[in-house]
Amino acid sequence: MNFELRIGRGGILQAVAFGCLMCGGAFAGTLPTPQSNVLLTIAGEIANTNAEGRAEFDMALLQTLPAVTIRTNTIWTEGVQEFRGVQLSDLLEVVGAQGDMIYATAVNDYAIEIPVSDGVDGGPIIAYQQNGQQMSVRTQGPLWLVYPYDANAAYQSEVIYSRSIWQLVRMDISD
Amino acid sequence: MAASRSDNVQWSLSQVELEYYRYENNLLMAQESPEDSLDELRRSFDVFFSRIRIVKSGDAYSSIHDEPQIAEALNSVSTYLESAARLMDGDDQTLVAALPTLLSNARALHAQLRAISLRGIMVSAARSDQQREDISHTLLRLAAGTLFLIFALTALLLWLIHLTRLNARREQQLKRSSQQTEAIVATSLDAVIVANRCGQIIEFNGAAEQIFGYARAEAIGQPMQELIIPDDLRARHKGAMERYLRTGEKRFLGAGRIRLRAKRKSGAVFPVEVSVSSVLAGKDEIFVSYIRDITKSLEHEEALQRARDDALVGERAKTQFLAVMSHEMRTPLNGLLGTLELMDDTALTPQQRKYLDTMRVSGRLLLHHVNDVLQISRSDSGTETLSEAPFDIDTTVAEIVESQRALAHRNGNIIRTERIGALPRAVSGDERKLRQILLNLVGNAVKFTTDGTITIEIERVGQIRGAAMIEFRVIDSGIGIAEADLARIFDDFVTLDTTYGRRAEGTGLGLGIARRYAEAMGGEIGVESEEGEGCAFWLRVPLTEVTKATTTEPAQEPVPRVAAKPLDILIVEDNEINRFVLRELLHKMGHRVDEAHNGRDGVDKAASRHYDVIFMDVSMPQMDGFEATHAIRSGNGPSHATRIVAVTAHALPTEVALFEAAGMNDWVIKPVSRQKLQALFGAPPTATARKATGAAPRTLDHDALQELRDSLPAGSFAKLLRGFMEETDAAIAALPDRVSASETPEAVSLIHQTAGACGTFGAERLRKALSGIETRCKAGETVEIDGKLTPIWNETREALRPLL
Repeated sequence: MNFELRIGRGGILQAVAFGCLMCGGAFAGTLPTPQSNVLLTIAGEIANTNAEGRAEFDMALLQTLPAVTIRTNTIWTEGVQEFRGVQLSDLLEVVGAQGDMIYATAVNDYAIEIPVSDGVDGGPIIAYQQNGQQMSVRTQGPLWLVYPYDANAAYQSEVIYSRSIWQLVRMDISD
Repeated sequence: MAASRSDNVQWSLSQVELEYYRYENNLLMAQESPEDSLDELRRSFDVFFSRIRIVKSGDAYSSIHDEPQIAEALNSVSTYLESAARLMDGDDQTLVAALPTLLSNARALHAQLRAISLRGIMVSAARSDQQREDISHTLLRLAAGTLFLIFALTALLLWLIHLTRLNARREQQLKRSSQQTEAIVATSLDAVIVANRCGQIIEFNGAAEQIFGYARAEAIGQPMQELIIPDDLRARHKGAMERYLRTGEKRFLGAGRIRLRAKRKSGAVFPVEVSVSSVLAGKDEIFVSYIRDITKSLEHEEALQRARDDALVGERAKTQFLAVMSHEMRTPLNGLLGTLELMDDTALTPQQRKYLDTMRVSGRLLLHHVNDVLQISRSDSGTETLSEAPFDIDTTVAEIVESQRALAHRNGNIIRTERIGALPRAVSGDERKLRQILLNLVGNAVKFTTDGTITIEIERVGQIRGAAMIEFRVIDSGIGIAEADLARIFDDFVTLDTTYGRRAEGTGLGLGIARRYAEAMGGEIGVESEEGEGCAFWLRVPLTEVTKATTTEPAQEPVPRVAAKPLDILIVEDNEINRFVLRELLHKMGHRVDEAHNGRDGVDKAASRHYDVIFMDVSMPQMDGFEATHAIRSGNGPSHATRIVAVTAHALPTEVALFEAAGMNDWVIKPVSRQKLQALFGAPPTATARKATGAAPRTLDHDALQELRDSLPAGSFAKLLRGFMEETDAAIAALPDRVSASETPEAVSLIHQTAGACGTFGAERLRKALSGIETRCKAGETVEIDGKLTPIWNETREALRPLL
């Protein structure tokens, strides 16, 4: 654990460790510890943590994960928007999520259940940039779970809209 | 999508008020204890801010922006949030100081926020309504769709039922038609074999089984070629098949019934009649063969042919027998009749003479019958030939009338000849046959008419292939013929069982011969009659018209009663009786006669001295008449140029040609009579001799002239003759160049008178010329005289002058 923590301090090493993590899949281990404000906490049935029973992510940590860009319209915005962030599936893998259900909570205590199965390649992302800019709480940030609505008609439903949680702060994984 | 959007809108709008209360609460908390609550306040402000931002700028909310109340509320809230944000982003102290203002201003917004929140409820209500309406619409559409579907399904079902029935019916029809076809094929008496393009048998019916001996199952699938085609025909069949498949050229196919041979299972080859056609069955071409076993029918055909041939041979043998018999009977008859004639010249009592007459009549009748039978059999055996020679219709008819006139007169009958319309005078045809037919018809008419009239009408009734169709009608006013008998009157051996028949002294062959001759000449003969009213026999024959120049008139030559001077004559004849009769006849006529008993003897005798005439029998054993004549002619003896007369039983046209070819000058037909001999010696040499001298009649008939002179006192003859010459001089001079019955009737009448006078004074050549002109005028022609008569008359006058 300590060794892990130590190498975690070096940005490059961190990236290498994460790369191994990404490639290696399910190996138990610890995540680098966030150095600035924690934006997202993942708890519950997860294998990899960097705090007591939970995984915490600041912006820098999130940005070390493979980034994906989605271009789409949303019902809450005007015109095509460009969102950039981490795929939900990648994030769940990073934390070694083992449950079926995600209980996601926003800063205003809005909460919604999202099945782990939503986390597919080409599926929703945890967006940290909108049109090239970081998002504040006032602009639905800093993290917004965005589905590629235009790419898949199945994502244009009330259920998906309700799962598109903005001002995301916490995800609890359960069976 | 629209529904889910409005769901979200409703949620977001209702959340606006909630977030506001949270923010307001945090304002209150911050006033009480700013140290602990500022972070919380800032976060709740941000959330509230973000909520308003969404409502203001989200696509899904554009519809509510149009409402002035909402737009105004949003503007007020935004204005507030802009100013509050600056405070929130500033330092804590300023924020805390501004808290009371922020709170009071926030509370001032409460009404507008409420309105926005309520708007959420309305959206929700509208949405429910919309949903209900949508559902109701959907249900309606569903119902309509279902109804339509039911209708469509029903229609489909009905159509399917219809189709099924149609199919069933078609199947039924197909089955029936197929059953019919099968029945037809199965019951066909002809073998029916169907093969495909490869020549494999695909159908083999019952008749085929019987004919070829293969069971159907055995034959099907087998190559037709090997099964039923004889080995020697296989290559041909194969070639034809390949040619057809390659080029489509049909020779055998569809060519109707063809006779071929086929092979049975046993290997036996038999004759068949085959008809093959190709049919398209779907896409495949098949060959349908109908095959009939004609073994039996061929046998029958052959048997029939044999029977017919046998019958024909029998018939010919019979005819031949008749011909030979009648011919053989004529020879002794000739002897009888000739002897009777000789007896005539011996001293007889009147009683004996009467007996002799009876014998002669009976003998002649018998000869007539035999001749009839001979003619019929000759005609039937096909040995009868048609001769073609020029003759004069008028002369022929006149002679027939003349020969019957005495008999007619005895029965109180008058014979008239009527020429109707224009007739060709000179024609070419078989005069002998025509004469015989007409003689028969006229003879019958004379026989069966008493105190009546017999009219002979001659009329041209048409034209057929360059020949004139001439109709001769012999009309009598006699007893007539019953209608029932009319049809068979021309049959052989018909002597009607009426008075007609009883009175007929004949074999009943006369009309049969007439019919045969008429048909042989390409003509027709018939009769119309009513019993008791008389008969009208008609004969229609085609006769070729000829120019006058070719006409010869040998029959017209007058017959001198006695020979001018005694002749040295040789008779070459193997039959003793015939020789005897001829010798006696010639002796009686004052001639000197030598005899030869056969051809060789004749040639020798002819070589030893000169004869004036040689009578040569045609058929003799060893050397016949032809050979003997040839020997005499080719030798250098004293008689090598002597006139040779053939003596024959029948002078067929072909034989006449042979006589001439052999070098004979003339012929006489048995039985030889005194009359025939007189005719022979009176006439100028015929045949070759005649050809040399031409056909011109003699200028003067000395015999006729002598007769006239004998019957008159010497002075009056000269006087009469002078008058005749003067009258004729005048007449010839008076005649115009052209004469015709219609335009110059007086000239025609003058010609008639002059012709009569010429006849009296023996001016034969002129008489003929004048008669010819008269006849043509009567026929409606216009005749050119044009001085033709003058040279004839001048010649005649020179000949007459010594007699004056």
